[in-house]
Amino acid sequence: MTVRRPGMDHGLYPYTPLSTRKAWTWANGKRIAVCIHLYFEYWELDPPRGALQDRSYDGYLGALHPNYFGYTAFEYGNRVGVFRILDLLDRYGLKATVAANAGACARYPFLVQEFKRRGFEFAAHGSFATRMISGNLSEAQERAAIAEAVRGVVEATGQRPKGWISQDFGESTRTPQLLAEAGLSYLVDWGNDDRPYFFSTEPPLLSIPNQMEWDDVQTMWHRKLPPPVYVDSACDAFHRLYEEGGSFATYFGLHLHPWLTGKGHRIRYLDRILAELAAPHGVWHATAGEICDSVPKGV
Amino acid sequence: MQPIPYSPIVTRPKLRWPNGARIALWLVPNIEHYEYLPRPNQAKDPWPRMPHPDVLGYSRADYGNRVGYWRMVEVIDRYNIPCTVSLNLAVYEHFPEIMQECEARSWEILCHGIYNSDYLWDLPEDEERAIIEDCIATTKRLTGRDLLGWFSPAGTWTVNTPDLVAEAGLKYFVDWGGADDQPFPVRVRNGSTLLCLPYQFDVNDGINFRFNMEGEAFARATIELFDQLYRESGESGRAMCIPLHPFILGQPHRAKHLDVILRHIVAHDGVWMATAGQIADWYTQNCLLAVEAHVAEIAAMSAALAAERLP
Repeated sequence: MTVRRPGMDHGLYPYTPLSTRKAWTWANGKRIAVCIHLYFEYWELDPPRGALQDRSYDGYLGALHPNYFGYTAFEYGNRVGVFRILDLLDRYGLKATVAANAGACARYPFLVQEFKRRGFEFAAHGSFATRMISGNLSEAQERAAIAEAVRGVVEATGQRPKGWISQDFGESTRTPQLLAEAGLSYLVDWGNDDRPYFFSTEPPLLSIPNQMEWDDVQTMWHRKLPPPVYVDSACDAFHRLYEEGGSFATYFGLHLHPWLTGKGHRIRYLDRILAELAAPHGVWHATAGEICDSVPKGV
Repeated sequence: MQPIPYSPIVTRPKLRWPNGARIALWLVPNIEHYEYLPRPNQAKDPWPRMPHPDVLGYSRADYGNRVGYWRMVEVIDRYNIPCTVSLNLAVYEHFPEIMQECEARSWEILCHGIYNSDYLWDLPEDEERAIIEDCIATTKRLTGRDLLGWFSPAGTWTVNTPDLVAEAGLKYFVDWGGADDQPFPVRVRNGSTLLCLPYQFDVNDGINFRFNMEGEAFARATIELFDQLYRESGESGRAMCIPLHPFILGQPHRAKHLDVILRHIVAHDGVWMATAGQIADWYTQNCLLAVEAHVAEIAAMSAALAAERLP
């Protein structure tokens, strides 16, 4: 039962309101760090019974079996959509941090090569789009799931992932601690801040904000916002955070799903956002690992 | 049930359409009937709002066959576009006036089951096979022609659907059409190839209606998709499907948006207005072998990369 007393109702991090926080800036003097998170996922044609999927996809991407809508939509992302996004990132000279399902790494070595060739960073992102981590798992099962996801990235890419992004924000109460113990340095799940901060895990795990308010899936898919409204939201947020980043470093993450933003009628809207992000001085385009390395200890 | 063999569009052999066309476009009115009293206790309730009947849902859909169809045909006739009808076959039995209009225009039939409220979810294999056989026989009886393509009713399916459709000898399959902007082959359990055609659900008025997207936004998205595919088709051909529903886009406040879409498209050179059967035939005769070779190359490359990584 939740105890009514000052502070958080869990022990994952202390309450540090903005008003009490000591300002810090990026070492390179930039106002804002920008990170592109590119999702690399595999939605199983026939997921194991009992695997948990985000119930937000029920309905059109239904809860009934087999889910050919979900399967083919994600397959589209990896066959067609991702190349439209890569073209744009190349044009703007941007590197992405790839949120990589181990299952996608195994199924699409072609795409792993495309990402490696561009110098992208790989973050571990569970095993499949159809298997979330949640409180349904025992501690041993969760440790095994984390280890399997990390191993899948290492085997496919030859790189040890520095960070973790949960599939559909799926965590148990134990997840940050287990990730820290598995040797991961950052976690991109929590949308409760505009700046990275540390979890109270041992060793300390860095929270890089997952700003779901302008995540493409949360806005254009789950909330059904029209693409121009999504663009306005993302750009308005970026400009506000850019302004605020003068005295206290800020962070802007752009989360892109090839199955959604890579569609022919949406790709032009990504072009508009990237043009805004690329324009001003004082923007640091970085991967999540580079950002993680640059956050001062103890913030 | 095998997953779709991987084939990145960027390295695929160039796709050429007849007469140097850039885009093969198929326009697909979904002509459907939702039953007043559907089969009860299905895996999903067609009218979940209340005990059946549900007059709100039923009459909204029935509008399409009474009024919306005729308004939609009037717009399509202005552009003389051959359609592929995604048809609940019972529509032709209940409403012969609609069949007569479609047949007079030589519109092709893409089977969309019997009723849009009679689902395939969880059906045993023999029952699903019997439905497919019923559809093939019904098409022959009503039109004298062979059924060419399959699109499961109301987007409901089983793990056996692709195998059963291939075994029934149909030419093309649409259930997996969300996976690409070009046709693509899949392997089924009897070892044969089943050809999937692109079916862009994103520009399906029925789905967008459920997503609270109104006519103007629907037209904009459809035109933006066409423009993007048209740009890309300078390199290699693309296929685009526009799925329509008479009970949605045939409404008085939406019909004009279909006109906007079609006017935009016909103003472009290099658009092959085709039926699904024509697209499937051309692809099978001119493109399939090269794409299957490409799929085999990608599979070999993937296997080699996997072997390289082993310790």
